Amino acid sequence: MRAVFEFTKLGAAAYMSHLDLVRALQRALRRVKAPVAYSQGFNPHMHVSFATALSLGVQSRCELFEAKLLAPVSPDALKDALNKTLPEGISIVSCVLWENDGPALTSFVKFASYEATLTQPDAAQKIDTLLASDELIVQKKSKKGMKDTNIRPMVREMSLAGDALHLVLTHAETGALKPELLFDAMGLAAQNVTRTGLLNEVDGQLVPALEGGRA
Amino acid sequence: MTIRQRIEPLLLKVEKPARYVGGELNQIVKKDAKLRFAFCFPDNYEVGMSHLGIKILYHAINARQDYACERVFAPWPDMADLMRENDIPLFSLETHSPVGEFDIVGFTLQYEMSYTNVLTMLSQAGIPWKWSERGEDAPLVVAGGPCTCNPEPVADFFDLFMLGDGEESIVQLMDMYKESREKGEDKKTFLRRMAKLTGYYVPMFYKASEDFGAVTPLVDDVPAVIDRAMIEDLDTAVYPDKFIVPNTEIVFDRVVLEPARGCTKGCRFCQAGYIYRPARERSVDKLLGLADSLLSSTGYEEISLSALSTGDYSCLHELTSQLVKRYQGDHVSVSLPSLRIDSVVKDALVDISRVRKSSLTFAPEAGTQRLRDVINKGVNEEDLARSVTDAFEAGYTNIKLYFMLGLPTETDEDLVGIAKLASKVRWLFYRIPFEERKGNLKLGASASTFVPKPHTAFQWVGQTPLDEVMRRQGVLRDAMKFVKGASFSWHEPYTSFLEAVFSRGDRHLGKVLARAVELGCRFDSWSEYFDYDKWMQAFSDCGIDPKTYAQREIALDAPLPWDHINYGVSKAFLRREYEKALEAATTGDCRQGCLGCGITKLLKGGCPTCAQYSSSQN
Repeated sequence: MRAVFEFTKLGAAAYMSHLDLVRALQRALRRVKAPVAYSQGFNPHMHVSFATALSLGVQSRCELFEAKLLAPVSPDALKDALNKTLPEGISIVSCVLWENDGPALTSFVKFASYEATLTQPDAAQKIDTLLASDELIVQKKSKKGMKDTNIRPMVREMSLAGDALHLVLTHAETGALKPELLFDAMGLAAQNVTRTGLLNEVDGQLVPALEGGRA
Repeated sequence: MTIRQRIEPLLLKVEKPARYVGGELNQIVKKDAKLRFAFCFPDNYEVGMSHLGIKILYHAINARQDYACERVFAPWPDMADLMRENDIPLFSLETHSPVGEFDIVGFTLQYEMSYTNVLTMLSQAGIPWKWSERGEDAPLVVAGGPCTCNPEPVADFFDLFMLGDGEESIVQLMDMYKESREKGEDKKTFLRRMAKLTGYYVPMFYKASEDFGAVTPLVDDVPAVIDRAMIEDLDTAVYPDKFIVPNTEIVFDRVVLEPARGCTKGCRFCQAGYIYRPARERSVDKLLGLADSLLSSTGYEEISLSALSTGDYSCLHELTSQLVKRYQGDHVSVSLPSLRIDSVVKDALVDISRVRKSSLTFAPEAGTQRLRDVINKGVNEEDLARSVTDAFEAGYTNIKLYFMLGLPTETDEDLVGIAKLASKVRWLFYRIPFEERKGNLKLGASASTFVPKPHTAFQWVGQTPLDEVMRRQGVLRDAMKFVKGASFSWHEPYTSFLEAVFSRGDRHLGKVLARAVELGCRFDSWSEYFDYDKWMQAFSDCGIDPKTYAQREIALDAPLPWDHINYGVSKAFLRREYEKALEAATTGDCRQGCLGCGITKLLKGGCPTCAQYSSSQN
């Protein structure tokens, strides 16, 4: 049995690193005495795993993690108990129970959507230029080190309404594009960058990751 | 815009922005408190949040409904520079309020190398450095912590020092200040009243000597000698039932229990062993209750027992076996700090090693029995052999050994002795049959530079000159090369040199400290910021030779600039201890019989350490 959580990381919590976040969630699970399984061996640790990591400073309304359970629990009770004890900015949006066997959470995430505030006057023009072209080469870290990569194909959607940016980027296990990298490459200064969805693709349509891959 | 809003654009430009954000679980936010205390730790967030004292005092103050205590840590230079450029003052974490707007601003003085950060933080808060420059509108600026046993080098900067145990005296200070303000009194009247109470030293009513000498009252209604505050019963003393859980990694991130305070061994170099007397203990029941509430309010996976000599805590095995029994199933590990080698901890070690093993630290301090006897570190090689063997048999493979270099009467033979001890430890490990060993030995030895401290038996001794210290480090390094697989670490002695200057310093050093901060000195305990040349410039600008302080050999009957601060152990006792040191004669553990150190004069009841109260020769 595994408990799968969707949660937010907003406000003050944006300044926690991914490892800080892992620790904070593990401690919260301990405080509510959730029956989470531990690994065996020399240095036992809690069996939790995250669909994806979030960069420092980027907020999110839709992060996903799962915890392996030793015993069944009421997902709503667990959600409420956690929300009473989590630090400012982190809150559980939903909790569901899945079977243990089945793919890990990361495999359900193929895309990520974001919003941000872009106040610079040439933002719309830069976006149009990008969408019209096939290529945007940047130095991107790969397993072999820094490599010239064309990130244009990884931008699935990008639109601006006033100063509100909407963005959908590839976020698969095979390669994820971080919004900061895109903004740097385009010379855009973005504020309030917030991840709004972790998505899967089913029959060519984008759906929330949990929905798309319910075990 | 609020300060919180104003720092937002800066946060992604600095290292570890979580240092400045607050919002951690178990923080206490009180917007309507009648009296507000800004607790300033003069180092960064990660260091300050790992300190036990701030947790205890934060809890003690906030337990009073109408008082608020908020935390303030030194902004790291990257943030400090941005704050200055943007006119953002030093702020507290709980409410992001300017520190200059609090009623009382208190600093904890844990080590001399934090003094420059104190002045930097006062500047950042817009508070004048000297008490003589602060008006009625400025907050009261106070200090506590172990360095207050010789507060003179910073006496120009504080309105009041709290000496000794702080849990009650900090709340009493606030009670008296609140009353004074309600009466509409000025600060000087309030401070004059505090100066008459036990545990508070108010430097404005005392004058320093022209040369290196005694500090005397300027008025006749303040005591010539100020006694420290004393909590006699640790079991009933306040202790937090919750810790703030940081949102980012800090140095020590775990539940900490304080089983005991004070020590009975009388190691002659150790200031803490003298100034935290008498040895007082908490009961196992009390500690278990605290463990329970601390674990459930934090979710931590580790409990650390913090005491000067945890191995001497009379109920150690009972405590550790109970903790392991209750929490092993929850994956909570128990760790012990540096252990005295002569304490019997084997059973405790076996218990705690069941969950998770970390490293074990032992501090033999000196390489030969002769030198260990001089410093009264009452352990011998058999004790060390037995302790490390116990540790190895309990499955520990990671051992750290702490030593000091530059001890009184030290010779090169003593240095080589350190390498021999390390070698012996290695030999003991490999003597254990292969199948019983749990991995490879990770052995580390480190040697810090001895700093003579006030209120110890070595307070009259000058520090070994720097070039000689470096020569000795070389001797030890060469000897350690022969100990296969052991790592050896040492620190360049420049910070220890400055520590020695300020530790046995007097009020004349205040201007050097101020000059050093003007020249840009800050975060001196961090090697990336410590600037020895700037410090030497500061001394030179003030016409003071630091060697006069660090290397000063003081006559045994000379008046000292810390004689007016009484931590309980008498000067006559310390003098006797020093004379015994020169003969390499040892003094026993006072648990075995009172040795007449003088602490009983500060106690209302009998000495908690000793079964019988006796008034001995002094």
